[in-house]
Amino acid sequence: MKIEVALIGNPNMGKSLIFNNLTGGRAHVGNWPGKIVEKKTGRCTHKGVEMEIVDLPGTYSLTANSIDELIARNYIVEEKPDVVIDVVEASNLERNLYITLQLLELEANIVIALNKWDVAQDLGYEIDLKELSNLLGVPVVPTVAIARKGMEELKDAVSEAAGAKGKKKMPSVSYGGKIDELVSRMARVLMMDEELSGVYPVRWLAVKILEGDGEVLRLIEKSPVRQDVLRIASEARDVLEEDPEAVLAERRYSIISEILKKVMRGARPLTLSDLLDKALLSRRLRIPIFLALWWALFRFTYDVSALFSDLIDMLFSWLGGLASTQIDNPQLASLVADGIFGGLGGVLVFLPPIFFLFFGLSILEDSGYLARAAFVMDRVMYKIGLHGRSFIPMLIGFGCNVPAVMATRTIDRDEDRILTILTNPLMSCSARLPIYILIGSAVLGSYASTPCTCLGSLSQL
Amino acid sequence: MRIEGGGALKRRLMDMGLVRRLAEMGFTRGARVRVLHSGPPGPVLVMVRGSRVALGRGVAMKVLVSPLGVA
Repeated sequence: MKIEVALIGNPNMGKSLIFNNLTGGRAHVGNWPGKIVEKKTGRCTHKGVEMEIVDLPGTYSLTANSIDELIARNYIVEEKPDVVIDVVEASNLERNLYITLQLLELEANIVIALNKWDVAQDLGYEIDLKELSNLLGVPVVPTVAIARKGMEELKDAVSEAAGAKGKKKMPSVSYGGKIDELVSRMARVLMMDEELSGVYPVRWLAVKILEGDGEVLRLIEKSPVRQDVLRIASEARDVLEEDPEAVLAERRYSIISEILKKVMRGARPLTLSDLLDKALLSRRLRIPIFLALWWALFRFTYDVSALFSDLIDMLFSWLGGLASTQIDNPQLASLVADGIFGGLGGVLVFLPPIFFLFFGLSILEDSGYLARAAFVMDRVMYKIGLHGRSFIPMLIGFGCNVPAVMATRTIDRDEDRILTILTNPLMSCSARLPIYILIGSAVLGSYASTPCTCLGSLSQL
Repeated sequence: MRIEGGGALKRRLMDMGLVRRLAEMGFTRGARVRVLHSGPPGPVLVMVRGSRVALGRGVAMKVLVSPLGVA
């Protein structure tokens, strides 16, 4: 048996770790068609069941707010994976279950991986797994991805869920009297358009139309039932006396609160994270801390990589020297020594700084500081016409502009994203140093060293 | 001005897209919010439904709250 499994969840919940654990780290990385968003797929075999696992972008919601959300949503609606693993942070159920409710609405075949289970227990939460699974109508598996705990159980639950697909009744999300009635009425109308109802769950379509979801409204543009649907939607606005999108979100959160009241006990103490936030964001300390951390990052990059760059440099000059002494033909010797070894060496010396810069950046990112840095820099970025979130791509631009442009996908407004992408090449990336030296020495001759050092230190510090 | 303690969310004044976006982040009627950090003129860090959310000052100004007393 071969099944298709999708992984979804909020960012930073350990989704990628679970993906790596399940697939053994062997992933095929590509792009979503026509998008600059990374698509990761991998495989694993569990008790004779072959699983093709797709890692969807991390999102908080499944509305059409950003490319990531749209990709995740379209994948689930259109590709209809056999099982969707919803990675949920055990210590932050309230926020995380929001996407779970949206998945239920999409009629996805869900298995919940309740990750960071150990953290939740350390914080003193008591979660009734059986009751949670009952109330949501989906299997729940506690996991600790970082310690590879719960992975076998998760695979068991996935293959079991895949076997039960289409057999069990799908649990549905109830929004209460008036809204449910409107949704069912609209769903009945939508059923008549077979082209739509063949692909999309009609109740989901109805809910999204009530919410005024742009993508879904485009879907029904050519539908023969469009008039009737829009009539019910405008009726809904009158009946509800308030914006339906706000009411629906409110209802989802109150459903979650009801569930949590029944399954969870334990209070949230002031965590280390709260204390750190106080220091990192305090008005007097945030700029010094910010500058100190970036200085440390570039210092670390430069100092550690200098050693490796020197080693690479030495290796290639030795190889070049070897070649020029061993080869008799002076032209051939020059080609091998200056051309091949010299050229390779000239490029490869820049590998260590790029590698260590990204290493440092990923540590900062995992520590959560990058999110704080965006917060601290918001005002400054705003002044120069960019978004607080543009800051991280700009910073990565010091290392290399390609991943920097890729990092802009978290910016949700198209205009902000394009502006960030267009200004990003102005950040001086580390690989430009040789160009500065080349042009500098061609134009300024022996005076080139000072301006080159200045430009270089701008990009390397 | 710093808002300390908690506040119950009352009403929002803004366009549709923002209403939905905020509602999805947990800013719904009656939700308890707590300002963790606010250094004008920069953005505001708010605790809502167990998550820390950073809001631009302009957006944060549009969220109307009423005080719940000292938490």
